[in-house]
Amino acid sequence: MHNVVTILAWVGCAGYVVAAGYALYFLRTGRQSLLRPTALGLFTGGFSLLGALVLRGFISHRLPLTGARDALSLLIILATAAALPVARRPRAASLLCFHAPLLALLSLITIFLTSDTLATPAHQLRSMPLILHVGVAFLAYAFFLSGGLTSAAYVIQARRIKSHSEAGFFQYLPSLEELDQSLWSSITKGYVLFTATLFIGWAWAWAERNLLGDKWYLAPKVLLSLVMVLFYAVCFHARRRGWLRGPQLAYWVLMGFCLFFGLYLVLELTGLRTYYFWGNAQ
Amino acid sequence: MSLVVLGLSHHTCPVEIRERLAFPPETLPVALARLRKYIDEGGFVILSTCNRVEIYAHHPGASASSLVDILKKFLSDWHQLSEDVFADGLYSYEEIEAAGHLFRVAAGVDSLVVGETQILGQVHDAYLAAQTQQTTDKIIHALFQRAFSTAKTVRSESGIGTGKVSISSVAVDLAAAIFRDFEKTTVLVIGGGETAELTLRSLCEKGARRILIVNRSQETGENLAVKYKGTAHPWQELSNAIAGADIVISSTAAPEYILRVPDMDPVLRLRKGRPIFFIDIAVPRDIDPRVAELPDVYLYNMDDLQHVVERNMEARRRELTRCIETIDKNAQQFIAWMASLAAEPTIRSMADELHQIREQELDKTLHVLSNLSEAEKQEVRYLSERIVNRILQRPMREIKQEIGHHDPHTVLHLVKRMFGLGE
Repeated sequence: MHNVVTILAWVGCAGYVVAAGYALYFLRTGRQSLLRPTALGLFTGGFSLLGALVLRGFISHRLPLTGARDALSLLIILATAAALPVARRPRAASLLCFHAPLLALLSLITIFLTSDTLATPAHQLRSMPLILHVGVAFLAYAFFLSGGLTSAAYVIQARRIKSHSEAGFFQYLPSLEELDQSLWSSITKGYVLFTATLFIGWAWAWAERNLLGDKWYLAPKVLLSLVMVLFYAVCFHARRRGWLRGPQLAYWVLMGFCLFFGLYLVLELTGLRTYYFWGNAQ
Repeated sequence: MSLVVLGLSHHTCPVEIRERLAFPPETLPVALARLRKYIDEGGFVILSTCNRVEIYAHHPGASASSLVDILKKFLSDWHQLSEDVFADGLYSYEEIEAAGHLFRVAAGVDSLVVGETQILGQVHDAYLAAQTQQTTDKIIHALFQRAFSTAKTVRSESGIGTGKVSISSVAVDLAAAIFRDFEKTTVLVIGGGETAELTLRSLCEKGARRILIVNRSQETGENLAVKYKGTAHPWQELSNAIAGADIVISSTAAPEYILRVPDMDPVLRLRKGRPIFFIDIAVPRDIDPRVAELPDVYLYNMDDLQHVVERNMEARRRELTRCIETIDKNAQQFIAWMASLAAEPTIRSMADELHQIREQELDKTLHVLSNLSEAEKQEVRYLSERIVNRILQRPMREIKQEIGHHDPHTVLHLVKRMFGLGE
């Protein structure tokens, strides 16, 4: 069974790499016929990775989300699911080719990460609200990842047009309006889901305050999440009021995404993700 | 058997000569019918466009040089012009060069604007006209079918058709990189002029519906507005019009900038960050280039657009080598196929000879085996036919191949000697 998981993971990675190959060739030539195999490669990749993850969960009788490899796999699968619908919009389909190389890179990273042994967690960590909290959070991250990539595409496209460099590697990206719509669609979905996951998380943390300590709400991860919600709320407001739009706003969204993503990584890698940072668990 | 093309094009003579030798569509059927009186056998097609006049002809008996002379005489007689008038601009190609020339023309490689697609339609129309007048034969039909497939291959396998090569189409392409749906964009034309109108027409063809016209002359503005179902506004409302527009085509004869950075501040405030695309095709320029530094403003002037056109043209020219390789390969294949047709009578004689021998030997054998039933005799006949056909397969294939690479007369002479066939 473990061999099947490994094979599925490799097949998934191969799907992403093939999709990235087609995507890069599309960005170079603009041939519309390359969009279909790109989408197909991403679908195969995502489906295989999902198969590997489900099978791993089936073997260990629990959700495999505690290890870095599993978490990254889930993020890739969800980001693929968030990105794939653009393939059905002819004017936006080329955006998929912008996503594919990064997803392929992330899938390659998962192959080289060691797969953790899944130990049986405490009963509090197996509760439905926590599973829901983590699942929805991952979906929100996937949309933010998709939005971050789209904002990068927007910045590149706007600069390309502004600087009169019509030819070049990114000349087949969708129009600015199309990118703007895709960007804000992703960010909106991510924002709604992230807000929802925060509420679910707070409810769970309140219920399990003995486990997390009485000052769980001051944990760096929680504070960072709040700042993130505030940041995106400001972005939404600025866009609605017309204070910030176009490349400037896309640039801010991109910077914000990189910053939050980076800070989350720092918290994870330095062990600061703990919930009893300011107080002891009871 | 000879295949020739006689013609003149933008490469060899000026428009003054080309227009005198042109065949307008309404006279083409009559011209084709008249040419039939000059060329009694074979087939021909007259291709007449604004950039070229060419006659493609095939004759099973006449030599290439005599066929070219006939075509020259026809041109002279039809247009009632002395041959001296157009002799300098004429070119003629024979056999593989004639096929290659048609393939280059159909693929747009020989066009004034390299890679343009209009010519393929014109070649198709010329072929259809000839077919309607029944002036095509097997060779001309195959030649044109091969030309169409070659043009398709060249276009799909090379970048000869990529990148727009006119100011208006480049401007529309750039607008498409900013706006998703032209139906929802508002186009403002400031001033007028041919290029501005061409650009506006291209945008309308792409779906632009909301058209605003601002012109110093109210009458000119209204005329343009009526033509494109837009609305004309007085010059005083220019700022408001810009605030409501997404694409601005500016082409006035103003000696100074009509739009500067300070003029844009209130406009941008009203637009609330919506992008605006300026196409400044006026010379001298209408829009201060510093406007391009403002956020959400994209500005292209005539030089910028011309630069894109030149770069696209250059990119197309770089593809020419690849295109010509494909064309040459297809022309060689076509000529090899044409040559193989010359082998058909010899192959038929060879098959007849072998089957005659088979029949003779079969009769002798069946006479000896008189106790065979009718069904068994029939089976033996089928067997002998199959053996002869199998034996013939390889020589037939080899003759067709060899004839494409060597002198057909030598190859056919050798075959005839080998099988004892009459000359």
